[in-house]
Amino acid sequence: MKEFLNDLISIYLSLPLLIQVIWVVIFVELILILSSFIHLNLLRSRYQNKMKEHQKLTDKYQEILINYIYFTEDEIDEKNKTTKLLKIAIKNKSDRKVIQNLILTLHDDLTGELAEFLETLYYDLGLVQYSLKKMNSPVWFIKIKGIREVTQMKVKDVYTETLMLINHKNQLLRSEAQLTMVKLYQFEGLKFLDTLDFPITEWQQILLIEEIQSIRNQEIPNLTNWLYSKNDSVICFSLKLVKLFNQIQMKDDLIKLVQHPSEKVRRTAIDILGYFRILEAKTILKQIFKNSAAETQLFIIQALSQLSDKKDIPFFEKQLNSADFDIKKVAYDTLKDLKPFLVTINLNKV
Amino acid sequence: MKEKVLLAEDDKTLSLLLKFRLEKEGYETFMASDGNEAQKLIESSKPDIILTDIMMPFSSGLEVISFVKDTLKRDTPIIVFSAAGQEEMVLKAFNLGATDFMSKPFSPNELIMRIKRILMQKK
Amino acid sequence: MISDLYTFLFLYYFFLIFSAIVITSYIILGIVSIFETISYFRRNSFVSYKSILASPFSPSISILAPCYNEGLNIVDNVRSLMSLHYVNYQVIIINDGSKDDSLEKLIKVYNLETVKYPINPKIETAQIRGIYKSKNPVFEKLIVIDKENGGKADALNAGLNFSNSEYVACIDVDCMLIEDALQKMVKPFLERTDQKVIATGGVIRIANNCRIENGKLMEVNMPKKLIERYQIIEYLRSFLLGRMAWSRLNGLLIISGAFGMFDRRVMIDAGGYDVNTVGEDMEIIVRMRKFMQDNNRKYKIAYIPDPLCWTEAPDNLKTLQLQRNRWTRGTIETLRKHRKLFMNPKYGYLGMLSYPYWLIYERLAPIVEVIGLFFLGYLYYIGAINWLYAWSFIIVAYLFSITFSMAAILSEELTYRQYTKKGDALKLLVVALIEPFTFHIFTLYSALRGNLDYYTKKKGKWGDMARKGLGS
Repeated sequence: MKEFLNDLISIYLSLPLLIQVIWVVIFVELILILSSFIHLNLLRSRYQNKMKEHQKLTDKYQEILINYIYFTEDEIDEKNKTTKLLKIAIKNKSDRKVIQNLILTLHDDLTGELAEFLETLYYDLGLVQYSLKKMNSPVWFIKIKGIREVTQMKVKDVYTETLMLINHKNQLLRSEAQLTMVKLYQFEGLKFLDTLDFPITEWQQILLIEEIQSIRNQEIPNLTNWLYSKNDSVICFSLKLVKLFNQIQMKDDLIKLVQHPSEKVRRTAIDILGYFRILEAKTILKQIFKNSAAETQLFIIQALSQLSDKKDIPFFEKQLNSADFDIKKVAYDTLKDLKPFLVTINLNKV
Repeated sequence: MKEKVLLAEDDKTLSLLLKFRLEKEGYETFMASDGNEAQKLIESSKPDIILTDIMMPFSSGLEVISFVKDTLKRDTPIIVFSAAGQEEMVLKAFNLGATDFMSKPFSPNELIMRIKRILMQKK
Repeated sequence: MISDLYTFLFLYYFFLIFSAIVITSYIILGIVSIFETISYFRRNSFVSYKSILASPFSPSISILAPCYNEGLNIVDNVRSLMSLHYVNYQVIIINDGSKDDSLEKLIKVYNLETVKYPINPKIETAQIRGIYKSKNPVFEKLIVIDKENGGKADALNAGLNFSNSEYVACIDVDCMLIEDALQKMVKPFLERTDQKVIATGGVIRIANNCRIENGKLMEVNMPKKLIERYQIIEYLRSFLLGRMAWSRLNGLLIISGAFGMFDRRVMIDAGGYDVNTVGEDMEIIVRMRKFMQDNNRKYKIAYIPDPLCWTEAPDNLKTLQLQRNRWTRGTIETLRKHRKLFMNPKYGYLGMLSYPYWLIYERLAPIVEVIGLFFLGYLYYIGAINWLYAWSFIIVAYLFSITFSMAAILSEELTYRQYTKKGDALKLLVVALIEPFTFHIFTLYSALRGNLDYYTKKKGKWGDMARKGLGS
């Protein structure tokens, strides 16, 4: 045996260097293939088992939970017994995950009495502790999970921790923290806009607005400061709020923003001026039209079509010759409204 | 005679919860987890009131409403629920003949109240 | 004799270095891809897509789906497209002069009537015959454009002209999209503040033998034929171990024509699809990139590894050959059309990295490989083969192919695990084992024919992929 190995080794060493290298690579490849095959099988069987377990547990606790929610006054003994059972179950990681998940998903769809019941249950069972622990994890996606759970269950005393994350360099943490501020502290929570250095993505703005829309007490904060923020995305976001809450009284600020250095801010402001039908904006809009980029011109003419009267007919007639089809179309549609008896132009064959 | 409620909702836990509550209130509950199943059950069990989510697998709640009002030509009251803000969908639902709308998240207590009110009005 | 020796050495070293670079690049791309996929997974595993659905600020999307002789399934496909969970979108079907009853079926089932709409003639297309909308408010999202036949690119351009959404999703009409596809695909566009995302590509999954009912994916099954399974491995390798990396490096040169989302305005400004190429999906991406760089605008093309789009893959050699032939010709046409980019520092990564790589390792590689095989054959014929070298090379290459396939299968298992039945992984493995001396050779052959057809100017466009139909 030893002879055989020795022979093998000496044959190997006598090979040209290139071939030696290749056979090392072959050896590595064989190991990789074998280990991935084993790993694959392990993964699959482990996964199948995990899924079966998970389903069993979910079915079990789903029933327990629903029964628990509807225990009546006479069933107080049953209720206490179940509470004890759940508290013990929580200590086990897989049980805890299932129970937590059930409570959280159910809570997502409910409001009122039942939602509060679930929040109290979350506290009583001690699940809050686990969520807070997650929030203090150094790993960002665990932190986010923790923040989510804590926010959903309306755990109130997390103001400072959340505020610290507002200007975190990890974008997802920032976003999550911002959402939490609004979910837990409503309009007060928007204060982070004062000091935000990073831009807010469109996606994040949409999420924030969804949260804001579900705030019950509609005491809208003063948006003026944010409209003059150094952070362009804060301005855009505030403009969305202006539109959402019909803050027509901000028209002078809107008119000023029509000449803001950021193209996006300009377009948003122009769009809102048209939407609010602010006639005072007509002059400035016509003024800046010529020197604006094509896409901005489209915004301007769309806004103008909301503000125009018969005196503006010449302006729109001029735009019928625009090189940009979309602008032409807006001009055409507006003229149709302004002089309904003159339907002479055929935009194209269709 | 127990009044029949048909519930079309794809979230299992939520539908179990609602079923429990509805049965506690004395309604016979039929459950469907998607639009197709809902339509089949509606045809066979002839519920007195229908609760349906707007966004479900296989056919939207809108199709369920259309099925009941236009195909089966029944005047069964229909309560639609869905994630808040889908104004467009809600308007369409009403245009198609929905009776009431509840946005998610909602309170099961309120749902029961509305069901009672609607069924009372029908009488 | 001396010149023979030099030729031999040249070829020998050439193949050696070429292969070494191929293998190294695959490894690098594979590793970067895996990291990028896992990173994407982490970042998006707890994203809630609910808000975007309901928001008054959610961007408008038009789905553009050209239709040519799809009568068999067009009604189901359209229904499926209309039941996506996004709110602010419309479905634009462009009937590209079908010779069958596609249009009639649509008009009947969806209560369509003609309407008058002016169309932006920005991009020239074949004649529009009519525009249809439904009388029934349930189908309010649907618009059908009927036009003279002009090809897929032409049909898409007609859709582009008509739509006034912010984003367009260009798809094959028989592609089945899962319900959340639109919100997942639109997210990258909304997430960047420093660059403009101009296009997002999605992974294409193979629907063969999957259970599809009423236009929804019910069950994912491993296809029965080896040829179909081979394509699964191929797609997994290409998407999970290739394109994710290119997306990270912002060097992606192609987004599958089966499913991609684009910024409509940029697409139109760049000129829309090119009707003179069979590889319009690759060509438009290269042109859009060039357009952004010519205008000094920072941009990105993103890629989403989520399985959002399921389509039917060729299930016989003939159709597969036609498809690969077309892909080859498309690549050649695109690279030739934009040859100005080659090693052009003005175009940064596009010109110095992506284009050369694509040229050498996508376009030329099959040719090099075939020459290599012939070379080997020649050596065998003249008895000059050094068997030690030959076998070593063959074994290392074969095992490399298997290792790479295993990596792809494993990645899939660690992320989206669409194939959950017992024995699925084994089935894929078997195909991976036989692939290098069966399907791979066939693919080389198709690529070769593609080259031949390109140079002999055989203008066979899309070929007739006889439709089995999704769900049948």
